[in-house]
Amino acid sequence: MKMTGDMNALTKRFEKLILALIPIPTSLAVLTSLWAVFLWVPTERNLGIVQRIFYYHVPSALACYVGFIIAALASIAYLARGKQVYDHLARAGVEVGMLFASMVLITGPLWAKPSWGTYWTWDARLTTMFVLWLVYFAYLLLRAFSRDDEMGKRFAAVLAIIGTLDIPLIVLATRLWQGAHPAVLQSTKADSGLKDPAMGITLAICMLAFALLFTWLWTLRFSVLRMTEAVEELEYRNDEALAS
Amino acid sequence: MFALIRKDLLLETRSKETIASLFLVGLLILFIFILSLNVEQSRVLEVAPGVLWAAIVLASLLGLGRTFLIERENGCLAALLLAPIDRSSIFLAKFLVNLLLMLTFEALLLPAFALFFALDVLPALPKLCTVLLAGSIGLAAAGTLFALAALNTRSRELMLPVLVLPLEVPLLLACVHATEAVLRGASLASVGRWAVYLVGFDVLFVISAWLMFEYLDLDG
Amino acid sequence: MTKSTRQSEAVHADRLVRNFGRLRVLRGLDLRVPEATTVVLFGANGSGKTTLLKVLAGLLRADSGELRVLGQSYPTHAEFRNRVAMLAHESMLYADLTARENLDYYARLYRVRNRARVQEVLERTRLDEAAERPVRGFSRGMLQRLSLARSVLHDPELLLLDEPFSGLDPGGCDLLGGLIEEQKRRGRTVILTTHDFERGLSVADRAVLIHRGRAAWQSNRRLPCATDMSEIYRHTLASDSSSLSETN
Repeated sequence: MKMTGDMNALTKRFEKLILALIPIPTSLAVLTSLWAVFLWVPTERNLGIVQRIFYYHVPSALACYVGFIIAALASIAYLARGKQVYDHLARAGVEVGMLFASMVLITGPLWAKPSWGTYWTWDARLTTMFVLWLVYFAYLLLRAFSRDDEMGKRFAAVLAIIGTLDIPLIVLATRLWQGAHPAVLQSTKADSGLKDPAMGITLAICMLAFALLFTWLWTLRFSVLRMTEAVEELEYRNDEALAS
Repeated sequence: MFALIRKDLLLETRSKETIASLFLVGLLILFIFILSLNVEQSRVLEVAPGVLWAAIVLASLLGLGRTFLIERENGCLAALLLAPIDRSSIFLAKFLVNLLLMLTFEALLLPAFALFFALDVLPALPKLCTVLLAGSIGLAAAGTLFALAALNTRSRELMLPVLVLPLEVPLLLACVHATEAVLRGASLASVGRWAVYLVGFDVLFVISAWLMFEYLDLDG
Repeated sequence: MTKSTRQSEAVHADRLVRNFGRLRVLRGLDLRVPEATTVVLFGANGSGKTTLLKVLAGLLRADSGELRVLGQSYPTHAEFRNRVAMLAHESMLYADLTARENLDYYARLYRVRNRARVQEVLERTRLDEAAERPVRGFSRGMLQRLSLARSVLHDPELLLLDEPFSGLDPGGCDLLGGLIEEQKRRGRTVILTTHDFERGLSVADRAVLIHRGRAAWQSNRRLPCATDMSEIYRHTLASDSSSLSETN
């Protein structure tokens, strides 16, 4: 019990720290990325202006994976220790992860259409993202529709863990598939055209911006979940006091 | 654990409900696909494996929930939790029963499949059966684990496909391609990649599900 | 293991708390049950009796508090569950199997070696004639007797019975009473809940009144008679609702 009391206190302190410190750097990073992507970095020769989406597409994917992996780790902790704080961490991770996953799935087709003429390609990255999106959408549904609070959270935790374990399997399967149908699929391998060092720098800036953005959103969501729990607790105590 | 398996098999052989429904649904799905797809015989191998696995997966989604549903009636699940049996053994028992049901269902469906698509499956039969076995193990493991999760929700059985299908996408991909390769008479080597993948998938899923059951800390 | 006073307690529960989401069912319940005694739990519906039994059986985990059952604290390994049995509201029987098949299954599940035990238990609960019939056609009383048979099949040290008298005709009630007596003679512990003061007090050594998730009253040396018990019950419930009406 003592350990989790510490965990609670620890996360509270981190939460406060992050929420206090992060807004300014994040805003700066995002603004810088906007400048870098739209005003500074040169246009890529082959793909044109549309290629700039890439600078947001890739970091979104990264943020999404980070979110899901964090959710899986927190879910393991939740199953092992049973303390609510881990469940909040996991849930926040999935929700923010889903946000970024949706971004990837939107920016992908937006990029693909002008570049290759079709909105969707079954390449490894997009397919993986799509399947993951489905898996974690199922997670959100499971949480929404569970009847029993406690068991519902635990089942969701299992889903989050297995979903993340599934990631390499999905990637592997789509790669094997690609090997069989090279004509159908096109490579959206992002690192195939980073000729200008400015592009590398821009990408790095965007990665940083998204990393900060993810942390901010995740912490915010987590604090909301925690506050909701605290409010319910207070409401309940109030009811109890009135009844006796 | 064997008591559990024995009991489930006893219940099933007595009523034969599950197997009959599975078979009928599988048959219907095959039929619907054939009606809606317009494929010339020369190109049939491009779609047939996909249709076969679609039928297997969809039918199994219906059947997999049942093994836990019968426990829900009359509170038998609580009885299992009270019994001196590990949680993971409960999973193993249900998983094996589900697997057995699926394999029986597939054995019945295969002749129909061969007939409908006018395919000669006999030469490839042993390899085909191996693929079916490998695929079924993965489907049964994931399905058994999440069947219990689905029953815990308000929408019950409806949740099972939602939960399990996304996770099984890679498995299905592998199964369909392996089946196609086998039916085309490819050598074991070329099928090899998919085969290894299937084994890997199965091992991962069965072990994860088995472990998870213990850590789920199921409540009465 | 050192022999302390705790060893001779079948149940040692301190400040058990169990919530279901926002609903607090057990709110710091204390209970001590010495081995080889029979305790009857009275209480209104929703007072937490069933939840308490489930926690004692290991079906549910307490959110906080200390609990030792037969000297062990939960969670235990699977083998321990052989020593406990529970009769619940639900029959835990398979409708499509016969009575005998149901018991055979449970016998196997609990690794009951003695083949004759199933027959013995069927005869004891007067179900041997209906043994080959599917449970689906059983009457309420027969179901209850079969569930009872299921619970005693593996000869548990601790028997938890949740409203065992419900659904039983007078003959069935006598049968149950006899069974509980038998358990007592053999040094087994029995904890039962019931709404029937008369019957409950006739089989028990001790009585406890559960109210709003706590043990509100316990009998001391002597058990009250049914009328007194009924009085205590009403009094406890009334004193609570009067304070409710004040705030409304």
